[in-house]
Amino acid sequence: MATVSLFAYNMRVDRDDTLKRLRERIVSFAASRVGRDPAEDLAQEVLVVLEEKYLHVTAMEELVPLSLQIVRFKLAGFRRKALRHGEYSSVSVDDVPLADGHESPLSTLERQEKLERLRQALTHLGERCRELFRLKLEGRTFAEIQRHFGAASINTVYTWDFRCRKELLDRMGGKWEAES
Amino acid sequence: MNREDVHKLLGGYATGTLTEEERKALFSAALEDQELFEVLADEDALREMLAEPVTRRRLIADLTEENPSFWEAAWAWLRRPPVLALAGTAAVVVGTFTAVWLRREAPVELAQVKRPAAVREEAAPRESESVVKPEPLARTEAFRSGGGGVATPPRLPVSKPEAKEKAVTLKDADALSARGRDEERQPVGELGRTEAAAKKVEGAIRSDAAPAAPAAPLRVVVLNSPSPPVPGPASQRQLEAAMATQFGQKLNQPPGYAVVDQREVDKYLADRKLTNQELDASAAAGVGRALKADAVVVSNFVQTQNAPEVQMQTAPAPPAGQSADSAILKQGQRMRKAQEQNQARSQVQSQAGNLMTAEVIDTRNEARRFKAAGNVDQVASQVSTQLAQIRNPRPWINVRSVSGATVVLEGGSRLGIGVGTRLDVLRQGRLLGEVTVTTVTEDTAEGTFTGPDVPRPGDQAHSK
Repeated sequence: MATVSLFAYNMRVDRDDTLKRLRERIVSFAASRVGRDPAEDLAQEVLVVLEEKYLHVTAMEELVPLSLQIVRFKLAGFRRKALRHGEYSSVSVDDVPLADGHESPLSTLERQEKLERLRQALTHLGERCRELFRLKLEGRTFAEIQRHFGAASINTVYTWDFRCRKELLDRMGGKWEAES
Repeated sequence: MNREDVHKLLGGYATGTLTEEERKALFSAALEDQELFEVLADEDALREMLAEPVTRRRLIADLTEENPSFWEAAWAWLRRPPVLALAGTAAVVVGTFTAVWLRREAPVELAQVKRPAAVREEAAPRESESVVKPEPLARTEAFRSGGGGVATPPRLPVSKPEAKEKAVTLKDADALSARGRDEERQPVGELGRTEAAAKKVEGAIRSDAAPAAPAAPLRVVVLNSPSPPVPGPASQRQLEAAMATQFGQKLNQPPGYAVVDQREVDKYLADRKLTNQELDASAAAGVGRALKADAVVVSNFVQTQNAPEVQMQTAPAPPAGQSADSAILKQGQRMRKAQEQNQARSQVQSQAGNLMTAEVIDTRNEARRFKAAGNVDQVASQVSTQLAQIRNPRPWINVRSVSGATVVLEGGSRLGIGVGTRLDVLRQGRLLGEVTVTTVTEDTAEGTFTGPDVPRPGDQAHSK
């Protein structure tokens, strides 16, 4: 019983430490996007969500991607709220449709355009990059990809993937998402 | 793993390729490295998209296909809707431009004219390098003297039929004008033409470019039907010859007519052993057609009073009791008196006498169109009018309706009818009266009828 309590205590300490470092990263990241004061509020909201809804998530390798996803959602919400407030454009509240819980037509269109841009960029990649990307999408690990290509070491595959990702990102204009 | 190696794991984050150890290494580094954290945050958008199974299957299908060749990629690019729309627009623009350009380049026919035959013949020597010789002097002298009957002035041969019609355009008009100027600069002496002939050619060529050029001249054959051959003084024959010459000259005065040389007519009749007295209307029309004439004028010189020479020919024998010398003396006195009277009467008759008749026959339908009587001037004038009608036949117009004195005709300005035009109204060739047009449209005319009879629908009218 004491061993379990000790393990839980250590996990709790590790989680708090992870959240503390996450807050710093999130504030810095959000500050570069929306400004310093909104960034702190946004980071606080992310931590609140992690504490209230994802208290059971304690592992660092799960908390970090989860926090990244929450940050992205919070940033999108912040932009929508600013739009409604007329901070960037004066739009009547009557013209802004109420949320119905489904994806908005604008979001659907943006997602389709993003997918089309990715497909077009993939067609211009070399044969090895296309094959490497296909294997990754099929769920192969880098080790399996190494064996598929018969590469000497896994670092070679890392390097190939890094270069292919960079070329793909360049062909998409330097960002995965188009400027909105 | 050092920092650079950790960054190489970024490509595996979005696709979910990383193992547990690789994920720990990447995220631990992201917690310490702000740059890596921000890159990961941006990469999350791609991760979210690739997390959808539908998107992932679609991308896998795209990547499974072979990389398209250059031509396949180009064909796929050409089939994109914006490219097709652009190509269609370009095709329409090019087509419209081509159509407009071709239409602008097409020659515009301004008028279609008939060249006068004489004009072609005048202009021909320059091309064929041949020289037109002037008419023989003897023929001209005969014309002037009138000794050969009705003679014609010097006239050039008729041009070839295939060169009669030509569509004249602006360019043609310019070319013809230039050609006319060139011919004007040609030395007249080399071609054997007079200056007047050269000017005539120039004027004719310039008139060629005009919208309405004159048609070929109407060829007319004059058949003199002489009195029965009775012996008489030479003055009677000379009088007829002079009158015939005068008549021919009168006919030649209006433009557009050409009287066939009388010697040519006489030669034709002599070759076939015909005399003018034997020719009826049909035969006269046949002679005209043989001589390529459009009309035949049969003239007859008559005497309205008993000529002294005829009396002289029929003078009774001297009564008994008179000596032959006395009779001869008296007869000689009567002859001298008759000659004096004949000369005086000839002078009077030639000026105002009622001396001749003329009949105009259309060679196309052998129809006797007209018969005139009077002195030479009157008959020549009336014959010219009839010849003009042969050239431009008057149309027959039906009477559409009659209301009192108002008559409506089935023809209007298209047929040359205007306000004030007077038309004869006929029924089966019988003259009923005349209509004076008061209002006219393109296809109808309305006028007032005056005459002894009453017209009715179906009657025919033609202009006077």
